[in-house]
Amino acid sequence: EFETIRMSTDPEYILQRANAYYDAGEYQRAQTLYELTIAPFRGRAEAEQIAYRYAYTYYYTEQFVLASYYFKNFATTYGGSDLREEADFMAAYSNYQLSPTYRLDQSYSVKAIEGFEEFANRYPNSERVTEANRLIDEMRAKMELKDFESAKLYMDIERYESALVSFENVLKDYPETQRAEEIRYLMAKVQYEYASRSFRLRQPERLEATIKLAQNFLDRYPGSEYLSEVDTILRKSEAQLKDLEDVRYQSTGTGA
Amino acid sequence: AQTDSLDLPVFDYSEPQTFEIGGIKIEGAYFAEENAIIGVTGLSVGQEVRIPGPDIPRAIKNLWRLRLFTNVSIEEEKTIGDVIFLIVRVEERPRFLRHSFTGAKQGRHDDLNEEVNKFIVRGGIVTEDAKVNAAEAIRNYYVEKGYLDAAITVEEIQDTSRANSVRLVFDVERNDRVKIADINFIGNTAVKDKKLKKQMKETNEKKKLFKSSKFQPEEFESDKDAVVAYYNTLGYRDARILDDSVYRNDKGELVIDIKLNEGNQYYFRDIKWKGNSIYDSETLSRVLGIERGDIYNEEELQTRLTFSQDNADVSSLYMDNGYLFFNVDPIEVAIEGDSIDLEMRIFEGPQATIDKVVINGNDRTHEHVIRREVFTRPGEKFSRSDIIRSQRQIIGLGYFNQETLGIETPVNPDRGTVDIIYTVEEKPSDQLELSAGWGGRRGVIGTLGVTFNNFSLRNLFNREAWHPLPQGDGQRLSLRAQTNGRFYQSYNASITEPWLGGKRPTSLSVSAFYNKYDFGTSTVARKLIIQQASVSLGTRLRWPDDNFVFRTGLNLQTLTLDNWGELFTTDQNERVTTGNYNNFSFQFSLSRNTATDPIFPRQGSNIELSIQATPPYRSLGIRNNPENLETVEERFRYVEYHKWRMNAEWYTPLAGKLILKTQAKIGYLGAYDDAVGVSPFERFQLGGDGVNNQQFAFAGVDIISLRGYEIEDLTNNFVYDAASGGNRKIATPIFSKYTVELRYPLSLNPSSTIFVLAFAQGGNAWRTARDFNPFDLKRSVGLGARVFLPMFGTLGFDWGYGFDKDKEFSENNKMSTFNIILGFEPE
Repeated sequence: EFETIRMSTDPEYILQRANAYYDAGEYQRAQTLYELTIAPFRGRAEAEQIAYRYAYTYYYTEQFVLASYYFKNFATTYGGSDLREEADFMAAYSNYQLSPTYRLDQSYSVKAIEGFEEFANRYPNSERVTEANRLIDEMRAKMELKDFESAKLYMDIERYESALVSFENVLKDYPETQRAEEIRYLMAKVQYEYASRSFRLRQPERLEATIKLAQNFLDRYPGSEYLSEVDTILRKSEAQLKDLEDVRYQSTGTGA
Repeated sequence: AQTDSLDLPVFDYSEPQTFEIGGIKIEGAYFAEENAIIGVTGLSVGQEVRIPGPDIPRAIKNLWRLRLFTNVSIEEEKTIGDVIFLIVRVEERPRFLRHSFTGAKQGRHDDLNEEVNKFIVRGGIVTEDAKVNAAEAIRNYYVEKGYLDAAITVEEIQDTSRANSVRLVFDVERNDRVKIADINFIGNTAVKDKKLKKQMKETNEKKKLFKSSKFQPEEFESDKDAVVAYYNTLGYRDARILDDSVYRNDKGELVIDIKLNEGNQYYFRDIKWKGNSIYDSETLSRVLGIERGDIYNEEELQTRLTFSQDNADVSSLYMDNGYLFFNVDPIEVAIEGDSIDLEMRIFEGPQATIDKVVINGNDRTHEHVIRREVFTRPGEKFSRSDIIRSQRQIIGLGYFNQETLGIETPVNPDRGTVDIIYTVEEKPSDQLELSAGWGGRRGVIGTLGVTFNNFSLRNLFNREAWHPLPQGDGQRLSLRAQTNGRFYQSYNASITEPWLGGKRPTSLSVSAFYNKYDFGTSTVARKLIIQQASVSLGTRLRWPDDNFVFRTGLNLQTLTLDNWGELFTTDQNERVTTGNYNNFSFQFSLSRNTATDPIFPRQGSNIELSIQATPPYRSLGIRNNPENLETVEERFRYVEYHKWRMNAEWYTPLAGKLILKTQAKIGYLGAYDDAVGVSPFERFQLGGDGVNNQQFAFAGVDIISLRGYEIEDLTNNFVYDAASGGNRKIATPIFSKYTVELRYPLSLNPSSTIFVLAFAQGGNAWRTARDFNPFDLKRSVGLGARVFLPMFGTLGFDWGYGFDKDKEFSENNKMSTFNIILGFEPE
């Protein structure tokens, strides 16, 4: 039966059947039929609904890349439509659906964030703004986790310098992070490890950096759960630095 | 005040004002519906608009974008206070319904449709411009095919099936293909016509075989540039094409005349360096490699400065050390006669530090799998050789398209930092092996195997991550089954995690196999079953350097023999044919690999020492009942041995691309206890192509190739069998083999590496440690070739001539052997 509809030359009939399939939730078939009605109904009243539903058929069949494209297309073509706001939102939301686990490429997250931000600017009074902001936060959190995990990877494989640079970048790129305390704790810890494993010649400056990070942490988070650990790092660094200086004085002493 | 006119826009632009829209009228709509047009304008009744302001122009733009109208305007009908009434006037075009071709072959219609559709949309409207463009596109299509005389006409026909619609008919008059009869060069004395014609890649004379002779104006232009570029490489830096003419001869064929002026040939004279502080001028000149008196070749100069294939150019020297802002500008300071003096002005700049390392495009592979392999890390100094090593590591994972791997290095000059962005494209990395092959007397062998190279064990129970299998963590899962249906079956499974615990490249492998050979009949059994499970752990060491890898493993193996007559014989000449044997061993190996490029190593070495040992059961008192020693089956129920293997190979570049490979291989199987004796299993078999049984996985012995000799050519591979009165093949506990090999690459293209080799080899197998004499070698020399194809592995052959054959055993007395290599290099 579907084939006979598809071969029909009567656009009105095709559209009617397409709507029936759409309402029945058979989006794949609805999509095929809507596609046939786009040209004949161009410039007519039905065109708007066709374009709107056509975009949704891609959304419901989980072809989010195309869904996003057709929602965007709808929004630019029917600028004055009541449905435009929804389409703008859905264009971004389709990209949100494509956003994968933090372990994978995040380019769709970036696109979705851009889309939601644009949405929030364009419709500041829309009831969807709260949702858009929530989703932006969700994806930024995901991207933050990605960067945080890559810094931790460098920590795990004992590339301390790289870990420090990467942690620093997380703090810089995500000022809203909930992990600031944990990151600052890890930085003190990593800097201490780095200093401990350095050549003696480089140790003083790295221990000094550790002391600075640890002191800064203690000042900032007096009630932290990492308090005792950072305190130990601070005391050990100070002691080691003192030892190194003593050695230096001794050697200059004997030399003189 | 303003004069009113019906035709002119009537808005007063002097002062913007905000109106409320009181009504919108549409005029001139015939096809399109009024409400739809209003919808498209984005204007609605009750809305506030600023005039002049962005709303009206946007509405007009939206309407134009529909491409339905030849004219669009929005005018004021009237205003009452601050309420405005608008009129939208449109003029509609006829709709384009369909098109057809006449005079074009049916087979071309698809291509032509593609050309037409670039300009004309079905259901859309037709403009004169679109018609002309479409016709021109069709003509170009034919011109590109060599039909220079093609002529296209378009006819617009009112379509009666629908109102205000048209269809288009493209009439194609193709005419004959025009070929190039002659290309004439005028004014060349230093270079022959033939050489110049060769530079023209796309514009060829019709007499040239296997080349199409057609005239494409764009290609012709780039071919002319190629001719000039060719002159430039010969030192003729002033060479110009003065004029060219393309005309028809009396047969209607094309003739091309190219008039050129060669100019003089120039030479390099003095090259001076300026601005260099890190490298001295002598070093830079050596890297540049251009000598006084060399022919002036600007292309060569640029190559040596920046783009050399082997990365031995001047820029690389700096870039490798992180001088990313490096720049060199060759200035011609003097031109005297035919000599040119150059001054190289160098800007060294600061050393760049890596800030962020970004990985994009990984849709399947988890980021940490890639990041941990990347040698460019935040906080480190930029180094191009690190990038190249990272690129190799990423490609080496086998998950990404080698051709499309992108590396970008955006610099931040203010901070002196650089980000490194790797853009990968996932490719299918899983392998499915489904084959049926002829295995000689073993008949047809069917193989079914799957290898998932990018498995994710942690997502095994996470349904969402299944697409179609859990993937992305870089683990390797391999399953394989092989059978010939009658007497051979083999099942294999293994899984490897390359970075156990995620902290170091410590790999864990777990594997198991089951092999069964059954040549028995209903009355006489003849069967061998080997089962094994093993676990192994490999660690990259940090000391003495990070090229060392230590591996430790545990193998649990059982062998079941039932009247099995092949190979297994003890030193006391007892045949081991029946019984159950347990072979439980530990394995330790230490290796150091610095050989670059696993396929064609050019330098470095690869040294591996391994020990495989079972517990010394009898010495530990686990099995010390003297009765245990009476039969072979009892003595070796728990097989005990210690097995040593040493393999060392060195690669040394001799001259140019010629590489010397030297290799030594030694294997020794020892016993803990003389009363038990050396195990009949885990021995070696030396000779032949070394692949006899490899298609059959594992058969209880290590098979080692010896080029120039068949297994039958070595006395020690045989023992006298009193029962049959003849000689019987056995495996030996000791072998050694030494090789020197000269290798020369014909192609180093990664998609097909080809090299030829000449070798001298000596090796032998001994039956007891007492007989072992490292100088008693069976010598051979020969030639061979290898082709490495990524899909198939190594393919090749060796022809070897053996000098020291034990003729009494050689069945056919021929002195040379011919070995075929399929899939991988034999041991």
